Amino acid sequence: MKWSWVARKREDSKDGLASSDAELAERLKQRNEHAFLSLYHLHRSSVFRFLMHMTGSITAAEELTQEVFVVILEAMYAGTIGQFDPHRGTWEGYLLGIARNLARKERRTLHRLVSLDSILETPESNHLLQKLCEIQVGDVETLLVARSELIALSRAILELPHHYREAVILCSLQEKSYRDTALILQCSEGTVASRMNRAKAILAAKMRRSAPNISEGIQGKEGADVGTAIEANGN
Amino acid sequence: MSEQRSKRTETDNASRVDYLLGLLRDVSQRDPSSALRERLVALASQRLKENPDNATRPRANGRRRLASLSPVFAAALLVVAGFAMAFVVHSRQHGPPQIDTATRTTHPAVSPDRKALVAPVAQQLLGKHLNVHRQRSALAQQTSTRKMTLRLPYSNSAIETGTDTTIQVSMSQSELLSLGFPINATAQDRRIVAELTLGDDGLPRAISLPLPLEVMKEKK
Repeated sequence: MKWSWVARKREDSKDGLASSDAELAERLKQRNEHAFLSLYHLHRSSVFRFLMHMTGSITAAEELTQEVFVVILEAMYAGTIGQFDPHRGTWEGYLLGIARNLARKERRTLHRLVSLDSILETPESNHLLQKLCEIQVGDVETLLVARSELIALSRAILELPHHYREAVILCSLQEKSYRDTALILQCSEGTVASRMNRAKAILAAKMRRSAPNISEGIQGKEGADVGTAIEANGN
Repeated sequence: MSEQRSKRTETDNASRVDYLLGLLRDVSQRDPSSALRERLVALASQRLKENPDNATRPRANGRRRLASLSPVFAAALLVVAGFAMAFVVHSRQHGPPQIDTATRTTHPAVSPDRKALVAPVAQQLLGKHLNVHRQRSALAQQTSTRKMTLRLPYSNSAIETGTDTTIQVSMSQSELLSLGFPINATAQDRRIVAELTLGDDGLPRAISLPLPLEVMKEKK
């Protein structure tokens, strides 16, 4: 009884979402500028984060996020909403589909060398990391280890084959369900599950391989920090 | 025993990856910059205010017109091809058309009394034409001897040494550029012929570039 109610409630909320998506689509068709801005506000974060993890660069992610919304803008200009169908999927899925295609195109055409550090070397990320790891202010070593591990993980994600990377980003980093991911990637849930399993195995192997390098790097970095500190103090 | 250990290690690794993925998700909770929003707002207000009918209609009309014209165009093309074929067959059967020299018309000769009237006018015209020709050749001569001259900054114009000597030198484009000549240094291995004016003391006074530029390839 309780479960059926939960299921019904979930379906209701889904219908609500679909109707709001349909409503938004109608407003977009009428070339409503506010509708476009509300679409941007609703889905900018998920599109941007997906592209950030796919490209490994904040700048590239911003450029591509703009392109995603420009595609919608061009469709609105022509009085359509592209190929979006509210009965088949959500706006988020549609936008992520565009983002996925753009990211693939970017990688294929530009072969851009990206710096992964840019994602994790911002002051905000450092502050968040410190907060999340419950690290005390003076404990630099733990912070450095955590950061190095995260950088290694990001690199490993970027080195994954495209279909594995998409699955990891959507399921693990964007917290999408297998069902939603399957809809976005246009494959079955089973395929998503197997891709996730395989991707995690590859990531674990890569992390195992990079573990000694990380400890060496930390030691080196720590030594360097100590050296610079001594130089600064003049001792 | 070793199998159990390896399984435990694998599980540990997998859980570590899960933990790190969670951490990465939390750390990378970023939003696009406000500049992007501003750009999109500007784009939207600009793009959505434009009238799409102006942009789409002519193209659509053009396509429609083309579609309606295509059968007519095809028929016309067939007719033209037919005529061309008929003409070729006809010309092969009858040979090339003959020119009748007997019926060719000739211009009537100028009568002697008219010649007297025409002669001074013709001479005037001829004189004008010759003047123009002379002016043109002088201009061409001027352009051929035109030079771009630059006094060298270290030459002291106060010291008059009498006669100057000019020697021809070849200089690289970058050298000329550094001296201040407005030269587009495109090819690095090309040198340009320049004239160096020397004073009697042997010091260079000026560099001039005879125009048009004479370019020579650098010897290796």
